[in-house]
Amino acid sequence: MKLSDDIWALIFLILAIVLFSSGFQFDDMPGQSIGAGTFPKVLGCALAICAMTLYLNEGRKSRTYAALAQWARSPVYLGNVVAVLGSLVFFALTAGRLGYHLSVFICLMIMLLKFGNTWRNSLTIAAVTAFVSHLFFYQVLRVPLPWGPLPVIY
Amino acid sequence: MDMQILSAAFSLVADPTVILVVIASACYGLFIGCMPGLSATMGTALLVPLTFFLPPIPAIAAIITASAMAIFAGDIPGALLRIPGTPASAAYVAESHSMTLKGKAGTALGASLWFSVLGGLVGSAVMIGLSQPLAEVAINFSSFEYFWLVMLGLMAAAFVSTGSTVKSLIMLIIGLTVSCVGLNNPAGIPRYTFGSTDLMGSLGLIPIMVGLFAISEVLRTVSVPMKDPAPAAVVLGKPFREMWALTKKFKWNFFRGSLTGTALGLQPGAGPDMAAYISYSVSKKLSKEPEKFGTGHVEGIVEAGSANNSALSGAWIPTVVFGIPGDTITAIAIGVLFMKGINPGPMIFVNNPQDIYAIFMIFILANLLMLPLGWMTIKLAGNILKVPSRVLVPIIVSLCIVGAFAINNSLFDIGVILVFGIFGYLMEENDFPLAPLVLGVVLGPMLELNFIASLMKADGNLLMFITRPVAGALAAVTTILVVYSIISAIRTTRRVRPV
Repeated sequence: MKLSDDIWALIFLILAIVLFSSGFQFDDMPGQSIGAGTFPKVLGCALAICAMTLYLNEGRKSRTYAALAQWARSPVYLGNVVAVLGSLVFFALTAGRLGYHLSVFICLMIMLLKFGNTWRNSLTIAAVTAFVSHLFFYQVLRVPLPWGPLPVIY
Repeated sequence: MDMQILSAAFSLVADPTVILVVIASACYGLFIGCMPGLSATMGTALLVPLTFFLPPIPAIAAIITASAMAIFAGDIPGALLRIPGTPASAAYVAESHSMTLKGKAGTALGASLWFSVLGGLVGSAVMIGLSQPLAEVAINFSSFEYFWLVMLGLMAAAFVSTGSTVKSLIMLIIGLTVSCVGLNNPAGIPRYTFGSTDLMGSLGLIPIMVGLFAISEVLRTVSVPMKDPAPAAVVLGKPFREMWALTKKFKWNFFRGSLTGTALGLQPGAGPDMAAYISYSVSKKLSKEPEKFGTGHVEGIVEAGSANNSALSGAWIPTVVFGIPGDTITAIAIGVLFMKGINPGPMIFVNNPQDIYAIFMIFILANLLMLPLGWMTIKLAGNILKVPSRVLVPIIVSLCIVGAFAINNSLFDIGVILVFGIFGYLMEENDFPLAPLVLGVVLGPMLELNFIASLMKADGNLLMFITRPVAGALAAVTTILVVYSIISAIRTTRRVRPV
């Protein structure tokens, strides 16, 4: 999605105000007039200046404030993007219960099939990738990837 | 330098165990660097348990070799897939990937390898010759000098990117804001954690980088028709034929990059990441063809590639001379040195001179070995581009998932790559560059720490920020850079929009 620089300038100005005012929530260090809020306040001021500069320099050029990307109007490409993002969400939500192998296998199957691979190729690639990546990260790099309901075999 | 000490050091390095360890850790470092989501620091940390079982010199050799290889290898997925393997490669990932798209992957990766080797050798030579005097200069830096040094790095990064400077500055500030999350601030107060324990430890750099570069690139790939690899993109050719010509053409870039990298490596916390950003920026500012930057021009890769590997050697100077780590990798190495009974510090040149010169020799050996092994890795990695996107993209996503999980063993980081992936895609669609954001996240804690410490020391007298000679000089350079860039931007705007 493309937004005009006027809109971005407004978004960053709001963010700058939020950032600056959030700095007042943090107490100063004992005996000092500075603390955890000082840096966010400075960043808020800097961001506000940049937002205004963006508006003055780059804004006011475009007549369209927002435009949807081409892919968002095509069911095929929208489906591809949803498959990628959906796989990440699926893994984050299910890896704890299903374990790494099953979650990654399902994610890979969703994406491989959606991108036009055959069932046979998808099954092979998903199974090999899930197994090899688990083996390497679990055994060699000692990353405690969850097993889920599968028995611990190595 | 005593010849007896040198020959003792040489016999330590020539030991078959050391040679075997160097070769094995070189392969390991190259693999770690190639994997999106695995940093050189993580690779080095994973080696520590192995060093328990090794004698002192092979243990240190493993760490030096693996980190040098990983820093170089980070350029490979950066150039081929636009996914930087390490933060140091993020500075010029857009440039090297543009070269791949133009069918010049061989030149991009060849230059990256060749100048990494040369930069590493220059850094090693400086380390051998000037360890003590350089470290004595660096040790006198106070928070004022560090504040200006970080400011210089950040400003350089903001002016690196092609396109709008104000958009680069905005991304830089967003990066600095992201670095505010968590307990990592001088007051030790939780900020922007919203009661989440995952946010207490701040947002991890690697998941952020994987999201910004890898997931956003994946989204871009799947939102257009996925083509089978273009023949031009997979041609690696014989890039070393070009390297001599590039060395002659860009000799000043190479020297400047190597020296900047070594000097920045000396500063605690700066390391290869900042060296790459600053060198790329300097290269663009001083280039005769600045308009070519960002379109697939090798000049910036020559300078930044030399800088990040020479910074690795530079970081070892304060490490061995004063026992103060120059970056996270040397912080791990100091632990290993102590564990093995080699206590770093000024007395190391008196107590264990053969060990210290053996360490210097390992640097040279590791950099020389990088040439054949690095080239073999490039050849193997080049095959990635022959895999159709419809197969490659899901595998990349699964590697991003496991890479992000591996950092903290937390599913929360999968959420981080998702959020930053969408954010990165959206920002690039709107011409906001991503590289300044990464440097903002890297240097944010260092900037805040030195800013707050300097404010406390100054006690209201802001002139103290510029009264110390080195701090004043760094402040002047930073100001000149900012003013020059603003004037250039105004001139360009006037040329585009004549009044």
